This record gives sequence, C-alpha cells and structure tokens, in this order.
Amino acid sequence: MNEQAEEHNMSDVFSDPRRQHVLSIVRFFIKNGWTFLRSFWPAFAGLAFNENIRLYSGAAIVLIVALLSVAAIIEHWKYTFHIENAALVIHRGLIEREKLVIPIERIQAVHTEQSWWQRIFGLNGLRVDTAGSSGAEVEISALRTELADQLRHILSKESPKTMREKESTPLVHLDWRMLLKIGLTQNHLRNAAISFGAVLAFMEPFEDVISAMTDAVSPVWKVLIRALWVLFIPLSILLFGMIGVLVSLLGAVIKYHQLQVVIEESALEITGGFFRKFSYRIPLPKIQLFELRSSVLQRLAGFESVRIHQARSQAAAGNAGVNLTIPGLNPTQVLQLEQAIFEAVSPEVLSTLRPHDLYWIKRWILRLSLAIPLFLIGGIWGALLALGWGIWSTWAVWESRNRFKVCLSTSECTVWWGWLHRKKKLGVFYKMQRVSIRTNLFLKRKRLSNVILHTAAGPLFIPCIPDEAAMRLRDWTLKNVEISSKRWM
Amino acid sequence: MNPFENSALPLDGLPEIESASFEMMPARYRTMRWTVYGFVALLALLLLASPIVWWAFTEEGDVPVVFWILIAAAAVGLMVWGIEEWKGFKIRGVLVREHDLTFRSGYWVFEELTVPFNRIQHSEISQGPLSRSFQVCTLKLYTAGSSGANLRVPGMDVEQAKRLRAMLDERAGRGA
Repeated sequence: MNEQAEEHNMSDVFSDPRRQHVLSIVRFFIKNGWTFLRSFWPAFAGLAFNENIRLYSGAAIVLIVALLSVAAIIEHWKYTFHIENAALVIHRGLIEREKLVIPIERIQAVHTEQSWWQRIFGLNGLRVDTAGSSGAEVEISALRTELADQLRHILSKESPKTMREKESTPLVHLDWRMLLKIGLTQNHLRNAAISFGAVLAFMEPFEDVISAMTDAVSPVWKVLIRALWVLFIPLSILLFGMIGVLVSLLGAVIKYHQLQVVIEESALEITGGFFRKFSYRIPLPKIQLFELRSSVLQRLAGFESVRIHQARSQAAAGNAGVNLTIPGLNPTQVLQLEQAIFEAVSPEVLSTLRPHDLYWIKRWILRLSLAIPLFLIGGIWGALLALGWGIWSTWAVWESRNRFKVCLSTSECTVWWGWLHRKKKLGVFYKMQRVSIRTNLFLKRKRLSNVILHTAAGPLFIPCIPDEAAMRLRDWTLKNVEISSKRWM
Repeated sequence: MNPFENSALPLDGLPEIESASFEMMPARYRTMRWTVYGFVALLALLLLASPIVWWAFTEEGDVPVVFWILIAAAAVGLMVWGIEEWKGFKIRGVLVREHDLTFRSGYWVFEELTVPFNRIQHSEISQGPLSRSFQVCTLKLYTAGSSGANLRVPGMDVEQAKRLRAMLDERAGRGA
C-alpha cells in the first residue's frame, strides 16, 4: 500500500505541465548553435578567404548570437512536459507547435546523464527512448536531480522496492585498480597514433609560428641535432609509447570511472562516467546480440569486454549509442551476464560448423596481394618486407582458420573468431529478423554458401558452409522465429 | 508454453524451401529490364562511338589507347550485365508460404532472402513511371534493424502485390 501511495504521489508531481530548469536555455543555445554551424559551415569557411565577408563578420556574429539566445529562451518557455493518462505529454516547438504523447508502456528505456556543468548546478538530463517503428527519442536536458530521478522511475515503471534492491547486488563495480588494468590493456598503439594525428591537425594552422621558431635555433644547435638525430629515434619511440599509455589510461578513467552494472529482473542498469555521469537502463528483451572481445593483454590480465547490441528501430537505424561496452569482466561474470540477458539459453552444442578452406585461401590471397606493390617497386628492402608480411599473413590466416567456429545449440548461434583479438558473438534464433543465403558462381559449383542471420542490432555472418548445412540453419532459424511468441524487443 | 523449448523437432521434419515452388516474375518485367538494358547500351555506344567518329573525320592523329580501354571495359560490363539478365531472370522468383516470404535473385551473386511475417514492421508498394507503363511494382518489406527496405521484390504484378499486402495487414492485425 505504501509503495502504491508513494508512486501515486510521484505521479502527482508531474500532473501539471511544467518547464525544465532555466539553465536548459544554455542547452538549447548550444544545440541550436551547433545545428547552425553544421548547416552554414561553407559560409564560415568563406570567412577565411574573403576579405568582404570578414569585414562584416563581427556584426554578423553578434546578430547570430542574439538570435540564437532569443530562440533558446523562447524554446525553453514553450517546452513543457507532464504526465497525463499514463502517457508522457510534451509540448514543444519554436515556430511550429508540436504535441508529443508517449504512452509509458511504449517507453523502451530511460537514460539519465549528467555532464560537468549539470553537476555544478545539481541538474540531470533525461533521455527517453521509445524505439518503436517511429524511433522517436525525447530529451529533457535540465531537471533538478531529485525531480529527474522521480520522473525516471515513473517512466521506466520501476517500483521503489526494486530501486532499493538493485543497489545491493552489482555484477560489476570497477575500482581504481581495475580501471588501471583496463587502461593498461588497451590498444596503446592506436591511441598514440590518434593523439599524434590530432596534434598534427592542431599544429597545422600554426605552421608559420613553428617554422619561425626553428629558424631562430642557433646554428651550433642545428649542427648538433644533425649529428645526433639517430639518438632521437629511441627517445621518440619511448615518448610515443608513453603518450599512448597515458591516453589509454585517461580514456579508461573518463569512460569507465566507477562503472557499475546491475542485473535486475527485467533490465540491465549501467552507471558511471567521470566528466559526464550516465545511467543507462536497458530492458533485457531489447538486447539482440551479445559480443565478447579480448586482446592478448586483456586475456593475460584475466578479463574480457562485453559489448551489448541493442535493437535498432527503422528510423533510429544508424544512430550511435545503441551499443554499450562493459569492460573488465571475468569469465564468471560473463556467464552470469549472458544467462541474464538470454534467459533459458541451452548451452549444449548440437552442431559445430567451420568455413570451408576455400574461404581461408581467399583471405590468404587477399592479404598477400596487399604486399605485391611493395615487392615490385620496393627494391631489396621492399622484397624483404613483403616476405615478412607474407609469413605473418600465412601464420595469421592459419591461426584464424583454427579458431573460427560456429556453435549451434537448439536456441542460439555463437560465432567465435579472431586470433590476437578474439571475438565471440551470440544471438538467439527467435530474435532473428530475416535470414539470407548468399553464394556466387564459383562457390555454387563447390556447393558452398554464406548464411547471414540478421538481428535487429546487426548480422551474424557464417561464411562458406556446405549448401545443405546452410539450408538447415536457415530452416531451423525460421522455424524458431515463426513459432515463437516471446517478446523479442 | 513455447513448444520450441521442448526441442522435440526432428531436423528432417523441418519445412524446406523447395526451389521448384518459386513463382517467377511476369514476362513483361523481363521486357522492362531488357528495355532498360538496351537504352543504357545505346547510350554507352553513342557516348563512346561519337568521339571515335569525330577522330576519324578530323584525322588528328590516332585514337588514344585510354579510349580503347574504356570501350573494352564498357563491352565487358555490358556483357556481364547481359548474362545476368539472360540467365538471372529465370532464377528470380518469389515464394510465399504460410509464415514467411522468400525472394531469390542473381546469377553471378545468388541470394535467397527470407522474411518471416511476424517480423515485418511495415510494407510498401512503390511504382515509378516505367514500372507503371509495364504494370509492375516493387514490394518493399521492412523489418527492424537497419535503414531502408530489408526485402525488395521488384517486378511484382500490381494486383498480386496488393493481395499480398492485404494478407500481411490481416496477419499483423491478429498478431501474425
């Protein structure tokens, strides 16, 4: 009774139309400003070249900022929300008024976010994902934290009891030690290369300044540098590596600080973040694919990363942010998560498929062909490098061939692949959207086909298997989809 | 409960998609495809032949080699496309079963795509000016998970497509 009364009181708070916190004006200003920049960037590019445009740029900027500010204030004023007849009703629109009615039962997920500026003012942002065929997504960007929490609980149909319960049993809670491990096991080479590229792009406009500085270097130093440049090579490699590690560590802290994953009865709750605090609540049926990834370093440290692929609706397809990564899971946690997401998965493998060797020969030839130009025009060093590449490719393809397998049980299909970077992708048959068998003239003669099982979050690709197995797999999948009455999204 | 969880289905008892039961596209759709082919081939011929004729009349040196390469590439391209039309049309076909729809196509690259009715989000019938004159249309079925139509059946008879869509709507109404 108390819980019901509590819930009722919470709904009452939102029964009348209300506005967001006045600071939502900042959010509207930034959002509109960004849209404006994206739409009129050629005009801004013109600023750099045309003297006439530059002459009036000061006045134009003042005018634009003033217009954007007025628009943001009006937009804040016109944006109201309330709960009416078990639906979230939003009135919005600057010029054209829009009324949005989202029945609470249609709401798929409610996420809260808190960036640094919102934290300073004790505010929270709320994102409501409906993911129906309309693909509508609504954002309420500035609400006092307690109000945001209340609204979230009403919209996500959480009872206060589950709210309290879930705090006690997190599946994952990343502490500083684990965060350090995750940071240290990332791809430092890639991170260093990205930061190096970013620095280069940033330095380009200052090219004149840099060349003036190098000209100012005394001739004695120049001679010294010319003589000792070889010594700089190990030093710069060390620096490059250190930058990579540092960027990885910083990235891990910013992304996964205090990451906590809680499995609830029907949803997965993920919270964390350093600058931008987030809280995602993903209903379990919405999860379509489960992906496990690990690099050599991560395997040595004894953990793997899980990537969760959520369903994409038609209109929302291609939108970023539908996949979530949970790093630092040990095998037991992975299993727990897998079982929670796909209830009643049958672990017994009934059949194992492997691609025909022709598939690997094709991949091997493709990889080798990359080195042909190097071999032809690179001289002796080029030939040696091409030979090295050839040996490496042969080894890599051989190892990948040995590790690739597709395990089929009565209810699920799991694809394992990769050698240094190992991956596993798991999908359940009844969630598939469509099945495709694809082959070409050459494979057809060998009676081989590729099977693609499409889920609402991406495909599972099974290459080069015998025709008969492909058709069986297709028919089995269709049978499961067609007789299933389970909720797939 | 879900009978699937009993896992008592014998693999041999699964309903198969038999190649003999596919329904071919109407003959007028073949005419339409050959018309498009002929038009494109004519355009390519005109585009490539006119400079050669011009060269021959003005007699300003030899025709550049690049031009011959372009002509050869166009000829090979048209030949590959022609074979696809000639051999591939017989493969094109649609099979409607009680619970799903399958469309197969392609001679060089063959694809057989099946969409179960209970996964269709919405459907669409589209008809351009050319298809209208040949009384055919494209049936598009949309499922979740990617943008654009997930199954396109071009060259369907208009009446047939409408009947199929009515059946899909009826199924959607009673929850497939």
